[in-house]
Amino acid sequence: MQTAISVRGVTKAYKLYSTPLLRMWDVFTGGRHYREFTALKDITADFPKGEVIAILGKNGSGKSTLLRIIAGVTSPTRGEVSVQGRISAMLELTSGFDMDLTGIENIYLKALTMGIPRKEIRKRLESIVAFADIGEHINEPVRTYSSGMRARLGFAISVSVDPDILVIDEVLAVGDDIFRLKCIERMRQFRLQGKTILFVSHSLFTVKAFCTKAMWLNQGELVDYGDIGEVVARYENFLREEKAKLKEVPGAGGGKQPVVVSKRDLFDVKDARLCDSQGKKCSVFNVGDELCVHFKYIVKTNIRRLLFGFTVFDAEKRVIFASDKRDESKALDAAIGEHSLFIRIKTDNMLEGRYYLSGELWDNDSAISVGFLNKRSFEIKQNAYRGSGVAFVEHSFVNDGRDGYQKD
Amino acid sequence: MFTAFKALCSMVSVNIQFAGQTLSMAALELRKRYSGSTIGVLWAVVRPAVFVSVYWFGIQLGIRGNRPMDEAPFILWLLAGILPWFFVADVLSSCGHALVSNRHLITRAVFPVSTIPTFTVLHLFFVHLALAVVTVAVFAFSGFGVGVYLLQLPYYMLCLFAMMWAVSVFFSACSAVSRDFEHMLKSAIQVFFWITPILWKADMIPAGLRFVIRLNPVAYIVDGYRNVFIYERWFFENLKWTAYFWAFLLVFLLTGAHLFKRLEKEFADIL
Repeated sequence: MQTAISVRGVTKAYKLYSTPLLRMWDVFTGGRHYREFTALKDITADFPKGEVIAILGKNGSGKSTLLRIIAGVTSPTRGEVSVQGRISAMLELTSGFDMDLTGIENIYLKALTMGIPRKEIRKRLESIVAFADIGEHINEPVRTYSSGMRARLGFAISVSVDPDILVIDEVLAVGDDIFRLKCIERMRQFRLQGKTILFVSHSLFTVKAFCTKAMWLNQGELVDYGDIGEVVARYENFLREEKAKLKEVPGAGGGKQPVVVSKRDLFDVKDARLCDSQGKKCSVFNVGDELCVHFKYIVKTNIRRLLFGFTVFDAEKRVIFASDKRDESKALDAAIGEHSLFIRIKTDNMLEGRYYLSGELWDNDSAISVGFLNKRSFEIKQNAYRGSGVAFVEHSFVNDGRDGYQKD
Repeated sequence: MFTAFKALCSMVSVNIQFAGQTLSMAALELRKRYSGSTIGVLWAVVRPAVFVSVYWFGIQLGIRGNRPMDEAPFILWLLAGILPWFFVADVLSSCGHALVSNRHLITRAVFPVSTIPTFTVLHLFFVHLALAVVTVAVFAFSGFGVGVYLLQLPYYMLCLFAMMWAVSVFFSACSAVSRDFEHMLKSAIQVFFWITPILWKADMIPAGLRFVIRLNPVAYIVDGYRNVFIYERWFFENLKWTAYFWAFLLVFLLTGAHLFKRLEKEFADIL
C-alpha cells in the first residue's frame, strides 16, 4: 500500500512568553525565557493513499496543529513529516483569504501561492465560481462574506486546484445541508480517484458515514489509529465517560453535541403513526403482537443511499435498543417521489410497561437525517406476569439431567 | 556573524527564486491599496502633490518670503528632497503590519515568508517610480532642466530600496512579535521627517550637529536626490559618506535577516 503522508515522531511545542519582548531578547542572546506548551507528543503514523482519514479529538487535542504541520504551514519542533504529492489544505475555514480582496481576486491569490499558472486557474475559474455558488458576491471583498460563504468559496478553491491530498478542517460545520451534500459528493469523487483526504469534523455522524480510517488524539497524544468503526466506537465510549464525569460536577456544561439539522428540502416524511399489523392506528400492544410503524416519505433530490433506523426507549427514556443506522440492508427506495414504508417490530421480548419509539431516515452519504417519530409513546400489555427489568430474557432449564447436559 | 550572513544569503536567494510571484503580489498589494476609491491609483500622485503644495505655501511664501534656495526655485528644491521621503514615510507606516496583515499567507498557506517584506516595499516602490517620473517631467518642463546627473538616479534609488528593504525586514519581524514596534515606527515618521534635512538645509546648523545629522542614512539619500536634481554632484565625490551608508546598511541587513530567519519558523505560531 502506498503511503501518502508519513508522520514520524512529530512533537510540537509552542513557546509561551510572558512578554513579547523576551522573545526578541532570546533571539539575540540565545536564551530560553519561555514556558513550553506541548501541543503534540511524539506522533507517528502513516496515512495510506486513497483513504479518508478522520482525525478525532476534543477541542485542544492537537488536531489542528497536526493538520497545520502536515499542510506545511508550521514546522514540527521534533520529528518529520513527508508528503507525497500536492496538498491542498483548508484550515479553519478561511483557507487563507485576504479579507480586502474580492472573491475572484482571492482565487487568483490562492493559485499564486500554490504556484499554479494564471492561465490554468482562469480555465477553472468558472467551475470554482459555480461550485461556490455565492452569486454576485464573488466580486465583493471577502470581508463582507458570511462565514458560510467563506466556507463555500474556500472549499470550492481547495478542491479545484487538483490536489493529491485534501486537508479539510471543520468546513462542514458552517455550511447548510445542501452545500454539505455537495461537499460530500465532491469528496467522494476524490476518494474514487484514489486521492487521500484528511478530515476533521465534530460531527461523528458525518465521520462514520464518510471516512475509512480514524485517528484519535487526546491532549496531543495518539490514543488510537485504525479502521473507522473500531476507533469511533472507542471514541464514543470515551465521550460518554467524559460526559458522565461532567454531570458529576454541578454547574459544568455538558459536552456540546453537534446537532444534525433536518433539511426537509432533501427528503421529508409525513403521516407517521403507530399501528397494528393490519395498519389500524393503535398505541397499546399485547406481548407477541407486532408493533408497526407506517409513514410516507418524499424524496426531493438525488440521494444514493437512504437508510432508516429506530430506537426504543423505556419509560425513563433510556435506550433499550437502537438499530444500526449504517446497516445497508435497511436501504430504501430513494427515487425521487413519494414512497411508503411499513416497519414491523416484534414485541416478544418486551415486558409490560410504557415505552417510546423514535425513528429517522438517514442519508448515509451526507449524514443528514429526518426523524419520522420522536419518542412516540406506546404501551405493552401482557396476559401473565413474566418477570421484571427492561427485557424478557429467553431461558430454559434441565432438571436432574433427564434429557440434556448435567454436571457430575 | 556567520549565521547572520547565511540568513541574509538565504533571504536573498528565496526572493530571487520567487521573484515572479513577489512581483505579482506587489501588484496585488497595489490594487488593494487603491481599491474602493474612485480615482484609484491617481491618489499616489494627488496625495504628495497636496503635501508639496502645502509645504510650499507655508514655508516658501509664509516663512521664507519667496527667496530661492541655492539658486533653484524653492519648490523644485523641496520636490527633489521630498521625493524619496514620501517613499520612506510610506514604508515606515506600512512595514510594521506587513506580516500581520498578510497573516493569512503565513498561518493558512505554504508561502515564502521572506518575500512578504519585499513585496510590501516593492508595491510602494512602484508608487515611488511613478512619482520620480512626474518629478523628472516637472524639472524638464520647469526650465531648470535635467542633465547628465540624472544617470545616477538609479543608484540612489537602489540605495533607497535596499535601505527600506532592510527596514521592512527588521521591523516586520519585530512587529510580529510585539505591536509596540508598529506604534514606535509610526511615531518615528514625524521624528525622521524633522531630523532629516528635507525642509531645511544641513548647512544651516552648527558643524558638530551637522555631523550627527548626517549619521542618519536617510539624510544620505535625500542629499543624493538633491545632488541629482539640484546640485549636480556625483555620488563618488563623497566617498566617505557613501562608505558609511553602505556599511550601516550592511550591518542593518545582517541584523534584520538574522532576526527574521530566527523568527521565521515561529511566525505561524505567533500570528
